[in-house]
Amino acid sequence: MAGDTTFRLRYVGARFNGARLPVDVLADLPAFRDLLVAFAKDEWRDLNAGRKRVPKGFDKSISFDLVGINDGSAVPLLNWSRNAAQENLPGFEDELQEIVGGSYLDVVNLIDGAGHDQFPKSLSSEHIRALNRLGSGLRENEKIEFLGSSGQDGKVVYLDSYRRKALITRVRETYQARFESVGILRGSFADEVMGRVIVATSEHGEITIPLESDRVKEEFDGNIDSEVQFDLQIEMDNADRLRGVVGVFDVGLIDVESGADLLRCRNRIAELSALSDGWHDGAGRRIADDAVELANRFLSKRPTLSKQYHIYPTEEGGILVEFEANLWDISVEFLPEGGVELYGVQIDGAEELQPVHFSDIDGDFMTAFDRRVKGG
Amino acid sequence: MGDKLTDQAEILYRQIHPTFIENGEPSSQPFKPTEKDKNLLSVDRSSLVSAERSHVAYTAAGMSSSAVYGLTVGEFGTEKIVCNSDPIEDGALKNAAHSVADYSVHSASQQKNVAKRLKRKALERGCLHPPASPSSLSNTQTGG
Repeated sequence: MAGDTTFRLRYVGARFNGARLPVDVLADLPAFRDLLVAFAKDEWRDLNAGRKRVPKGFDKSISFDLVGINDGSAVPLLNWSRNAAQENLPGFEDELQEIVGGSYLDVVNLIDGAGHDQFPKSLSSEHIRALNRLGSGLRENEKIEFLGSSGQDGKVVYLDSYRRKALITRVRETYQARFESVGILRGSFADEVMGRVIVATSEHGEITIPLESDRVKEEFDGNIDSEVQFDLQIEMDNADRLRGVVGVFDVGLIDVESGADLLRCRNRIAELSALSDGWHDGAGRRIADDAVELANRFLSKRPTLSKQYHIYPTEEGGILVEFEANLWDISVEFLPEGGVELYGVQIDGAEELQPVHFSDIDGDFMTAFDRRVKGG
Repeated sequence: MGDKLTDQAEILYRQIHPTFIENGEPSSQPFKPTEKDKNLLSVDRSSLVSAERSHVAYTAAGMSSSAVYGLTVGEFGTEKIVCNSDPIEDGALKNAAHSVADYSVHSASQQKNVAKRLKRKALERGCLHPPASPSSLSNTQTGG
């Protein structure tokens, strides 16, 4: 429609390829809208000096519709409708259009500033609530680009987990992040209303995960010291200390057999990490600490696959995990200088995946790994 | 380097270091040359030595091997790898059966998947020495 304004947010990262927008990032869209509205209220007050409140219908007049998702990773198109504004705040369409445009610039400038160590002295609780939700599902090496914007460096402005953390912890003390790993069950408690399990993790010590009472009683009671796999949304302070669990995507005991396989794999890595220089008939470097650390983190990501893993040292001082899945013979190689390679061959076919390098066991790697293991 | 090996059915033996076997399964790594090998993978010709004698001679020279696997000249050929005789005339490693499989047509990166395919063929043939599967072996059969 004439006069409509469309904002394009480009999600960058392997799991967004082919215009895929995972549902766990959809919460970004209302968060983006809420942040823009918070700035729009500021703009309104600036334009209408003396007025403390925005007019009735102001909030509803800034509603967005998701009108499409373009390719190039995934680019959701958010449309502000001038007609909707006209219905909710008749006579103010032109002013609102100007305000929406100005507010978008405010959002972009706020995020661009965070990338250059420039922060507002304070923000309202409305801004902070929206900001804490925007991008909370982003994984490492993923970002949201605000297409059409230009930052201080002349490049398109983007929000990533680093900028989120910097921004949120400057305007408040904590930020939220995703935490996916395994740990050991140390305790389980349940009453009539609510339950919780306590899990010891190598990353954040003992964490308390809230759960329904019935689940605690049926699944966790009596399983102290068992392995637990979890995927959580956590709140961290600005020194990266865990404040608490704010959301539970997945938590469950790893079955006894998988636990034994996981232990075998961990023991094998420990065995390899003890190799000395020259272990391969005079050649063969000692296994690098970076490779050991990455390999152990990898095991924690998909512990139920441990049964299939065969683990070897590489002569260069890395660790190679080989296994079969989804009719492929797959290798994950942890390099001595850090980083990881994924490659493999089809078992009964001619297809192959040439080595692809990743800098870390991050979202991009896990997406590529899961795609190869599960197919699709 | 000596003559090109032309008998496509001739099996070439490859020694597997104990560290490259876990839970009875060899890694793909012994099926590609390391950096120091300069693209040439050492193997022994079955027309000149048995798998057992190859293993005995190898470990007697001070090297470690838990198992001997084999690939034919033809199987190397399907990966565009040419094999040549390369007898070692002198020293502790003296070995008339020694040959090399030349991987230089493939980059180091490409060799990783080539090794995976060749390993699968070698595993289909099975462990050629010792007769028991490597999973039943101790992990340190070191000669010398």
